[in-house]
Amino acid sequence: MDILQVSGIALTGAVLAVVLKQKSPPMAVLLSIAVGVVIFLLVLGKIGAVVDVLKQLSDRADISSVYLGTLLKIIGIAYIADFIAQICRDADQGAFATKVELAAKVLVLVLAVPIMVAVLQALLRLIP
Amino acid sequence: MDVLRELIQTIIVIVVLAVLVEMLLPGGDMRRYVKMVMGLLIIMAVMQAAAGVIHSDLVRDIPAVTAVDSGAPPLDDIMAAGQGLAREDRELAVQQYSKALSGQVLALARMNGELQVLDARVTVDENSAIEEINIVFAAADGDNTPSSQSAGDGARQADQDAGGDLGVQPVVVDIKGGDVAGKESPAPAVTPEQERAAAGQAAMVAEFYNLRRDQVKYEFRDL
Repeated sequence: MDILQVSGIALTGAVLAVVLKQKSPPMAVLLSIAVGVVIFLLVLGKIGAVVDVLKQLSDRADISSVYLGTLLKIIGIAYIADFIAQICRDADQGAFATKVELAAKVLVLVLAVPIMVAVLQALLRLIP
Repeated sequence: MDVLRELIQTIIVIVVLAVLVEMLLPGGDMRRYVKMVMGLLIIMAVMQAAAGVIHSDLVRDIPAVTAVDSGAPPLDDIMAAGQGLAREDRELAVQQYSKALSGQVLALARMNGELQVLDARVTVDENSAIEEINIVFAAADGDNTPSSQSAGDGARQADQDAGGDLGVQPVVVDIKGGDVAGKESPAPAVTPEQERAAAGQAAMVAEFYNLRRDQVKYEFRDL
């Protein structure tokens, strides 16, 4: 039933935003941000179950929890950046959206560097 | 055979995990980047599983993946430094509080003009509670007793001036201190009136600060 709630919030927000956009565009942007945050918060609690399953699977596969943590951090960075970039684009601020995406890419790469080093070391060890 | 079966099981779990994680990936431009990192992680996981099966140290000494912050000191050092600073500040505050209380006690003790108060020291514990108060009185004020005399000197003086103004033998404090104490710093001569007045002042201070009587001590010292 959660999807009904989310759909209702989104539909109401969309209708209100369309009406507001003609009279007061800044308020329409604020409304879209608010609706986005509310939907994000509604779904946030459900992610815990998925993360638990991922943890169990990684334990079963003997994958270090550090790796899984890094991966989840990267996914979180990507989602937040995507979310903010879309809001910026809705507000006709494409430049900001690009900058946010750039920052997210840099952060993802920074998190990925130690993993790359680890893979490289392991591969080099394979060579006799 | 068991080893191979275990390896295949692990790889299947890794593949399922990868598919699950891929479903979580956001759309848009960021997807490519996250997929790249995820691919690396899958490579690592498979290699780790393979290394575990063949008991190899292939991926044993992997660098810490969370050590991406550079320049900042470790958290333990920061916490230890913070605790040290807090301890120093607390000690400083206790010192200042003790100093202020000493001044207060000194002023309080000087309100009664019977005795000359030289010094007051307040010992405070870590919880800012008063542990002990030491009040130093002048041994002789020049009117009632022979001034600036030690106990031994006072006794000699009394012998010489037998039948003096007071006609009372000065209290010889050597009885308490013994010979050794007497050699180093002879106790000052204190009259019973002074002793009584000092005890009264100490009791007054103890009552003022709501302390036990034995927490307020006093001593006499030559001027």
